[in-house]
Amino acid sequence: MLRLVARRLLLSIPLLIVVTAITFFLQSLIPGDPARSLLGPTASPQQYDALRQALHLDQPILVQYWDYIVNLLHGDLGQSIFTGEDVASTLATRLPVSLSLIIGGTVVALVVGILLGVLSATRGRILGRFIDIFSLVGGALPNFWVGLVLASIFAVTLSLLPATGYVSFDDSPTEWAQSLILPVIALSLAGVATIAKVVRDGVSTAMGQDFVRTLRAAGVPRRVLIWKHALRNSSVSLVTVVGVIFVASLSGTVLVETVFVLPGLGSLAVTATSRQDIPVIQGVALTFAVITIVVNLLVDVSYGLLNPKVRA
Amino acid sequence: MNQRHRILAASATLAVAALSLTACTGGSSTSSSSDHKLVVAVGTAPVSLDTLKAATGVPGTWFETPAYAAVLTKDASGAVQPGLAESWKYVGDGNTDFEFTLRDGLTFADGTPMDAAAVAASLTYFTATTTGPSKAYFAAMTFTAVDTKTVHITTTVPNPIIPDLLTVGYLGAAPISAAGIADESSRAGQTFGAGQYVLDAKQTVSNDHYVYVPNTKYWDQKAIAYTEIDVRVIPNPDQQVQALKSGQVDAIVGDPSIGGTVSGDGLQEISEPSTVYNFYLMDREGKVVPALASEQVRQALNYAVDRDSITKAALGNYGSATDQTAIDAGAASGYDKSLESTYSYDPAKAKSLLAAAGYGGGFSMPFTYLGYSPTDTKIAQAVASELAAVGVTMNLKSEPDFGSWVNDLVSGQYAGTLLTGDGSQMYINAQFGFTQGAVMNQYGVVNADVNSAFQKLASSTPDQIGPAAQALNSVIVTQALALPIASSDSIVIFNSKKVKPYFLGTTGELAPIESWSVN
Repeated sequence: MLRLVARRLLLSIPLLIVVTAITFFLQSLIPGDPARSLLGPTASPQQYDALRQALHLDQPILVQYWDYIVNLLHGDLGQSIFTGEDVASTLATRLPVSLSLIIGGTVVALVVGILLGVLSATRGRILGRFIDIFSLVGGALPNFWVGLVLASIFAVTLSLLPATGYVSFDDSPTEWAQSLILPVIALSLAGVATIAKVVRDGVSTAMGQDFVRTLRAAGVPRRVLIWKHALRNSSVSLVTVVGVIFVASLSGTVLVETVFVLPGLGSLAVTATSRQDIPVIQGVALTFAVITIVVNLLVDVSYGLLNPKVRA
Repeated sequence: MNQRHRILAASATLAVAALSLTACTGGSSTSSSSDHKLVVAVGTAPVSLDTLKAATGVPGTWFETPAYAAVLTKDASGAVQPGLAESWKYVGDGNTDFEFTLRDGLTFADGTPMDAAAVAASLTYFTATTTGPSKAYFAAMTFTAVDTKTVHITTTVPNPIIPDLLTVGYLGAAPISAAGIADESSRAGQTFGAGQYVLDAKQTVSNDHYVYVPNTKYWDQKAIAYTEIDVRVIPNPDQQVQALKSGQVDAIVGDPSIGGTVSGDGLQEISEPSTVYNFYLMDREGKVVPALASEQVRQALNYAVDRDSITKAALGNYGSATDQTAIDAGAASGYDKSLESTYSYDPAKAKSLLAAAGYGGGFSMPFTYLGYSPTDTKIAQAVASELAAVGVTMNLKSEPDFGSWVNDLVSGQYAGTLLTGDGSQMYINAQFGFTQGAVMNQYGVVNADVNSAFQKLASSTPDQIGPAAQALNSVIVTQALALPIASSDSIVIFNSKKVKPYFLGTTGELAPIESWSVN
């Protein structure tokens, strides 16, 4: 197992380099000029040149990238071109918001998806059909649209929950939970549908297999058969799907955070990209890449725990 | 509890626990409610909190004015009143020398004393270094501390509106402390002023929300109405409306797409004409498009557009078609109602003028505009369509961001641009668009008639300003130095149970948020 983890970690190094390179060179293709955005049209040519020099924008793109990598290896993610804040500090402020949203969305998707999946597999055709339809619709509805509808109903019409904004847990646990309910639902909907479908298929298949018939003949109660044995049968595919949902939620946060005006990494990515705040764009991309690597590693470790053959 | 229930309970506990683990840090964009907390929403985050780089106008200045007090202020009628300075006056004739006297005992928010030397140093630094929109208005001035309380201003270009420029709207006369002057990079994300409030960095998350708390060193503690001001960035107008309706914010800046549509308990709306959508015809010497050097051609462009239809389509009830770059905001604006009929919609006349100028076969002209603004896009496309009907092809470059637009502007490749201009002060209007050093005169066109009229305006006494401003406005309109389309309203939608925003007389200028009264 340790060898597996070590191998995965080693493989992640070139992956991170590739991610930083792709991000760096792609953002250089975005039209615009951060120095112009910062200075406006009244700046003299001397002021413009001085700022570009200060920001190293006058350097060839390869030199800029090399400087970035060297600084990165020294633990320096740079400063925002616009706010002057340390990128690491900015990321540290916003990461908890995004993780609250992503973990919340994944957990909700897992809990609700398993419940619906098991009920669908064990409670007859009508519920099964409903799950099928829900899977199709839930997967097809854009999360930002779901978010807007939820905000319109629960925030504006019913005044039950806030339409926008985030409250940190430190300030008020209750308001923190309230500020996350609608975004988490919007983000988790597609995941609920996917997990429900996977669990329904897995449990249905397992319930028809010989080992379940044998256990049933031995007098094992039905609920134990379902929740312990049949559900375990779909655990490997479930872990895979949860990993995929978690990683997909990273991109989902971009829109959901924008809709609910949450100060997370997704909304930061939108602002930084629109302004060509290069150090911040790089920082967000790097953070997303690291999270993706960690999640994939956890999925691989889970495989090992669930299936001894993988460990070997 | 059976097994299924145990699983459900465990799952719920896990969900809450997992969320809790990740929620121990991070900024808050909402805090517990308070009777005197003001929460306002704006569509875009500030480029910088540095007054030397910040945008002027509403709502850009909402990020600045709470923390930066100005030398002078304005009352509800728009009249200039004491601020950090308790008195002020022009010295001699000709509008070239001016003095103001500071109050006793002023300090910056960081506790350092504010005397005349500190204020003069800040004004000098601003004038020499700023790249903001106010640069041109301060460029000719020098500042000297006469004694510990008195600052003398000398300007090489006569200036009849120095008291206005010393109010907070132009940002130049909002003193920055010595620490702020010494630390340019920190000014982007911190405040260094002497305003009623200071930015609370701990509660602020850049690009999301900016929290201002009372400045205990402000000279007039009675004027501090709020326990906290929270300026939130909510990009989408519909989201802003949702936040307003649900009580999360107290006021938003509306636009024509939502104006008149927002209703709810205590929600009200105010609006006033404040800016003019102009196509600035920068290439008036024909360096890029020779045709634009012809006055007849520029007049033809003005005859070719149906301003009423375009205004109705783009601005609805929040705009008025206009032939001038000025708005009806008092004598200093130079607005002249009689000029409104100068270019009545007449495509036939436009064609005949083009033919008379030798461009009967039409011509093309490249224009750039801010494509990220829906209203700008509507107006630009509508005007291009109508010009095409008289044979003029306006090749529009839609820029997705401000920096790209600025690059176009200074590139020397575009004949002009669409932009809203401040039409409330002709002295400002001219220096923004038409005098030799104006930012919207990128080709440095020298117009003797403009110069002459501007000089008269610049050295006017208060009772001469109106006629002088109108004379300059007449030159701009009759020589068709621009293609104005419509005056546009500033719109504010607010919860009247909590706050009362107001415009400063008929100037079209919205009062700074920190001066809004609490209801």
